[in-house]
Amino acid sequence: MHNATPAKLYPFWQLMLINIRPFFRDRAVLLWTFGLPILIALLLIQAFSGGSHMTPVNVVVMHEAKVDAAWLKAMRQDPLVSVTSLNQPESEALEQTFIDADVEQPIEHPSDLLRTLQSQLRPQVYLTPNSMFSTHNSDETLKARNYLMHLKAAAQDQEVHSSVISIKGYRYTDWLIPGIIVLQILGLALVSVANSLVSDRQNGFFKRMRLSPFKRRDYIIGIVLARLFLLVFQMIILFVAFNLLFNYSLQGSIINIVAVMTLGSFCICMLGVLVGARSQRVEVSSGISNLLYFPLMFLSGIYFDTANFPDLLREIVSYLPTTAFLDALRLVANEGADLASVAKQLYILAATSIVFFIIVYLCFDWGDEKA
Amino acid sequence: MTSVIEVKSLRKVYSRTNKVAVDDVSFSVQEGECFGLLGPNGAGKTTTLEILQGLRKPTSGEITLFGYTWQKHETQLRGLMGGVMQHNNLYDKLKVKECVELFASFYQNYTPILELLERFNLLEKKDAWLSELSGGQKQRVFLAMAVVGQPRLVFLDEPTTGLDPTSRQDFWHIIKDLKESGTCILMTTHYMDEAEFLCDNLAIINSGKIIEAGRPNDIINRTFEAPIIKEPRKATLNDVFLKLTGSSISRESYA
Repeated sequence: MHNATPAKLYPFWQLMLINIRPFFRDRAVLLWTFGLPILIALLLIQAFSGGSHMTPVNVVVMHEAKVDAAWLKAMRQDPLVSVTSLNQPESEALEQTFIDADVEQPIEHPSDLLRTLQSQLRPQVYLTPNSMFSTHNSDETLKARNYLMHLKAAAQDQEVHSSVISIKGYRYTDWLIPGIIVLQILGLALVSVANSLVSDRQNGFFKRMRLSPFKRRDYIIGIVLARLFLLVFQMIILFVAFNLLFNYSLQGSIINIVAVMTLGSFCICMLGVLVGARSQRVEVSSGISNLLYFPLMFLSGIYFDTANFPDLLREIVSYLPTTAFLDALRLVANEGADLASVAKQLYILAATSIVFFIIVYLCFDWGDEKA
Repeated sequence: MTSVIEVKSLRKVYSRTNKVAVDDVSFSVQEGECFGLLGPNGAGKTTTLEILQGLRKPTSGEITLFGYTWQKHETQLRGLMGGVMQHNNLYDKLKVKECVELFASFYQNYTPILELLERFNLLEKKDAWLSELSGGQKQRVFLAMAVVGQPRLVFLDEPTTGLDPTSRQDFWHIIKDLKESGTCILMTTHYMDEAEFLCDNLAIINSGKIIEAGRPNDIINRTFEAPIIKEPRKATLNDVFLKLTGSSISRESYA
C-alpha cells in the first residue's frame, strides 16, 4: 500500500519547517513580520535622509553697506533667498556675540534680538562682510551656504564649482540603509527568536518533545535556521524596495555581503536564543529583548555615526556584535571592501557567537526538574 | 512475560512545599500490557508518570524500564517511548501530517505517515490545520505523534479528558489496536469505564499511596462482597473507585 521504508527525515530540518510555515499561513503574522518593518524602514529613511530639493534660504545680513553689492543684489533677486538686513547697532551687537561665542559652549543668554530672529526667521545663515555663521550643523545649512557661495561667484562672474556630489555607496542614504537592514535583523533575530522559544517552553512543547528521542541541538539549529531563512526573504524585499525608491545598489561582491549578513544574523539569533534561554514567560523575554534592542540600536551607529562618540566609548561599542555587523556590512556592501578588510569585525561576530552558544549550552532551561 | 516497567518503593517529596506526592509506590508492568493509574485529582498519578518519563527525579526508590535506568540510559530510553500529555499544544497553523512528520523525524524508524493517519481515521484531515480540528481529532493527532516512531512504551496522561463519548470510543479502539500490536501502555485516567475497557492491570492511588491494585475484575470482586452488587453490570470499577477513595455518594443517591 505504502512504501515500506519511508524516507529519512532530518529533525533539525523538520523543526525549521514548523517554525517557518506558520509565518506564511497567518496573514496578520506575515504583515507584522514583513510588511511593518519595511514600512518603518522606508519612513526612517525618508525622515533621516532629508529632502533632495533646495529649500528656501533665510539670510540675516549684518553691516549691509560693507557686503559685496553685486552679491547682495543677486541674493535679493533670487526667488529662493530671503534677506533680512540689520541696522548698525544691531549688527554690531550680534556680530560681537558670534565672534565671542565658543564652539564648544552654547550661548547661555541670547539677546532678545537673537531670540526673535531664531524663533521667527529660523535663518540658515548669518552673514557679515567677512564671515558666515550658522546655528545648526545640518545638511540644510550646508546646502544653504553652498547656494549663497554660488550666487556670490556668479555675481562676480567667476566660475566656481561647489556642490554636494553624490557618489554611489557614499551617499547619506547609502550610509543609512545598512543600518536599517541591521535594525530589521535585530528585530526578527533577537526579539522573535527569544519570544518564540519562550512560548514553546510556556506551552509545554519542550516537555512534549522530551517524551521522544529529540536532540536539543536540533531544536536550536532548527529555530535559528528558520529565522535565517525568513531573513533572506525580508532582505530580498528590502533591497528591492531600496533599489527602486532610493536607487540603492550593492557595491561589493555578493558572496562577501551574504557571508557578512549570515554571520551577523547568526550571531544576533544566538543572542535571541540566549535571551530566551531561561525565561519562563514571554513577557519577561520581551522585556529583556527591548532592554537590549534600544541600546544596541543607538550605540551601533544605525542612525548616528559612532565616529562622533568619545574615543573610549567608540572603542567599547566597536565590540558590540551589532556594531561589528553594521561596520562590516557598510564596508562590504557600500564600499566594496573584501573580507580581509573586515576581519576584525568578523572575528568579533564569530567570537561573540561562540560565547553566546557556550552560555546557552550551559544554562538553557529545557524543563529539567530543579533539585 | 518480561516486565517492561519495574517500580520499587518510589517516593517523591517536593522540596519547595515539602509535600509527599508519591509515597512507597511499587508496581510492575508486563510486555504488551495496558496498565492504568487511577486516582482523584492530586493523588500523585501525574507525578508518578513524570518520574517514569524521566521528567522528574524520584526522592527515593528504584525504577527500571526495559532493564534500563534514567541515570545511565536516558538516550536509549527516550528512543523507546512516546507519550500524550494532559495538555497538548502545538502551533495552530500546522497541518496534521506536518505535526506527525516532525515527531517521525526524531525516531530511528517510523510508520509511514499516511498509513498511520489512515489507521487513526485522519487521512482526509491530513492537510487540515490543527486549529481546524475537533477535540477528538486533535487528540488522535497527538496520539499519532506519540506512536509514529514505533515506541515500545506509550504514556497517556488522561488522554480522553474533555472528549465527547463518541470521540472517546474512537480513541479507545485505537489504543486497543495499539496494545494488540504489542505496544505497552501506561495511562492515567479519571474514567473508570475507560480503565475497565482498556487496562489489563491497574493501581488505584490516593494521597500518594497505592490503595488497591490488580486486574479490574479481581478488584471489583475484592471490594464488594455482597453477591448482588458483584453481579456483572451491577458493580463497576466506578463503584470501587468511589468506595475506596472515600466518596460519600452512595448508589442509592443516583436513584
